[in-house]
Amino acid sequence: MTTLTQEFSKGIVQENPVFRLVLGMCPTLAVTVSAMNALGMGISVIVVLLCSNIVVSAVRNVVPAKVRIPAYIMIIATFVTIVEMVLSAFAPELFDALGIFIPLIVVNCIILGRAEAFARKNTIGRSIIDALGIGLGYTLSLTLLGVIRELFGTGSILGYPVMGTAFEPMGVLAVAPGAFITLGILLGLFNYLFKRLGIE
Amino acid sequence: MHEGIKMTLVLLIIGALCGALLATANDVTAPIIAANREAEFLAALEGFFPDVDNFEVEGIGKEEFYSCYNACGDLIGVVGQVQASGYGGDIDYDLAVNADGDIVGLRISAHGETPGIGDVITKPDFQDRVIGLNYADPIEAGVDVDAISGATKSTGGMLISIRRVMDIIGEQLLEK
Repeated sequence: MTTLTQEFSKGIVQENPVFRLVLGMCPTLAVTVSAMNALGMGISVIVVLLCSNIVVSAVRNVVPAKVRIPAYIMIIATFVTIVEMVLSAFAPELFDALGIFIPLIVVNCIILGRAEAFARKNTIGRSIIDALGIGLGYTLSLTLLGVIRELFGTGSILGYPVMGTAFEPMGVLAVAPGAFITLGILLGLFNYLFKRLGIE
Repeated sequence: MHEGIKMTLVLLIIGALCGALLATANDVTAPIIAANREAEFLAALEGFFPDVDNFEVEGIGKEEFYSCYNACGDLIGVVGQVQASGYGGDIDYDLAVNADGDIVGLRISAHGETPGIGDVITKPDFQDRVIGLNYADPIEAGVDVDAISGATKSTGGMLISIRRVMDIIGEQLLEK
């Protein structure tokens, strides 16, 4: 049995959803135009993942195996819709910026993946730790991508210009190809680092 | 048989609980969302017509039209809170037309068009093609306005709707 600390840290390092499992790529590529969007998306995913893991774990002995996927989808969709409503009411600007990618959290494979691979076999406590670890790993990865793309693509961080007036923004990083390029470079870098450090 | 009933019941109960939770969340957030939208619209309206002093609302069909007056009581223009049908469902937008029948503003408030393709309707390139057109212009894709390739349904749907809205504004509101 793994310790709780291991359960938490695996989501950030060994099983980092973006750089190790390469899951949930569509929003990862699309919303990381700026650090703020990336952070907002990451936090939304943490909230949904946490709620869905708790509920899926709580009903794990009640839901028959044959209908577990529709049950999970229904639970996840409910929490995503609530997050959508809350964002739309209290953070309309962020909601507009994230747009279609908020409702698409329903089909984000990280969330269904954790329900299927972890929460349905583990206690509520462990499922919470797992959700926090994986969610934080996702948020950190997204924010890293967002910071790099925003810094070099528009010369600012969280909307504040930091590169000085002489800096010529690399526009390509702010559009879709820039997302692939940044992700590819970071994936290669982390693979190299992990190999050197002997982490599998 | 017994298993089938259990599966159905479990799904039914989960569905009912989820539904109840969503209804509660909607009750709490819906008024705030509506107030946000209203504030956004009023800010946009002032952006279209900075001289606006007061306005009258008139509902025509399911859409609302705001006739804007300046401090002297002259009609300076009309803003329609209207709807077009695009590729991904309805597009809610505001169209501002001045007293001469020129389009002076276009604001997309809600849409479900494909990010990166159909959402060009929210970008300056498309808006520039529309702003400045007059009630007397044909406003037709391929005639006096070019649809944007790859987003024919989104831009074409917008143009058809703009023509329709221009007819309503021109015939029913500006003539008064």
